[in-house]
Amino acid sequence: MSWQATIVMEPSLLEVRRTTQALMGAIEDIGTETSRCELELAFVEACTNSAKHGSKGGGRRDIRVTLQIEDAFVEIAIEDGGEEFDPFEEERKIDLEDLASLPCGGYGLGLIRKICDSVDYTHNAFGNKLILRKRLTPASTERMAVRSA
Amino acid sequence: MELTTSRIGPWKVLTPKVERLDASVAEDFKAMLLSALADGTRNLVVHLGNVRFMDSSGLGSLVYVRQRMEAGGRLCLAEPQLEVATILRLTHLDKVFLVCEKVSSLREAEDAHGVPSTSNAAEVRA
Repeated sequence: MSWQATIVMEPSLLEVRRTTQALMGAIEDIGTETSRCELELAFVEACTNSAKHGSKGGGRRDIRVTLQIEDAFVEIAIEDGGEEFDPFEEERKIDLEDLASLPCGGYGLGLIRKICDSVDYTHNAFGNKLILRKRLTPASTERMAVRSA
Repeated sequence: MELTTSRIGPWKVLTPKVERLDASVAEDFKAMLLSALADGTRNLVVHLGNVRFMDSSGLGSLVYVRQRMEAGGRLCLAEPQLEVATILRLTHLDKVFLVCEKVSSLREAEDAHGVPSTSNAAEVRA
């Protein structure tokens, strides 16, 4: 199966929800529930960042999301007009034993990197382009895991 | 956002009636949880059975509230669905919160020997 769509959204959190629904509808029959959940999380984190920060850089004012699905392989490009950032910035080490030191935010980019098979980033005069790629785990793998458990 | 309140033994149980705990509701959610602590509540359960999705904003609200509970206070996340369990696992914060698979297991644990005051989820699951 091959499928592609482009969605142009306003930089608002409600639009993030609407666009997420479109993504989840497109992948509802692909891969395991766990891998779809992970991709939804990565997508929401990326789009929320764009909605919050993506119109502060003087580039485009909207957010352009391009979804490409090739069998179980999903590629999502998110373009916004925000200022340059480093999606590969090293995560702060957190001490789970020290409750007071735990951050209340800033988990988004780390989650995206953990979930996706690859992440690409470019910045130019129009703004940012973040590309997330993930191969959704075939459902048959999950069934086999359940059988062998 | 609607939040219902109930009690199980020493626990105040808050149940958000929302499917998605994301950035659009995280501030409201945090304010509601903090408000629930205003009476000195030290044992709080957030029953997440209705929540199908939680992002890092929702998670950040829970971390914030946990940090503001009195020393010795306990915050338990009950009935996390797959997506909620996923973000807890990926951030390793499932080791910070008490997590129980069923609200009813809280009552059983209290009846048996009391829920442990450590933040080890496995003890509660057992």
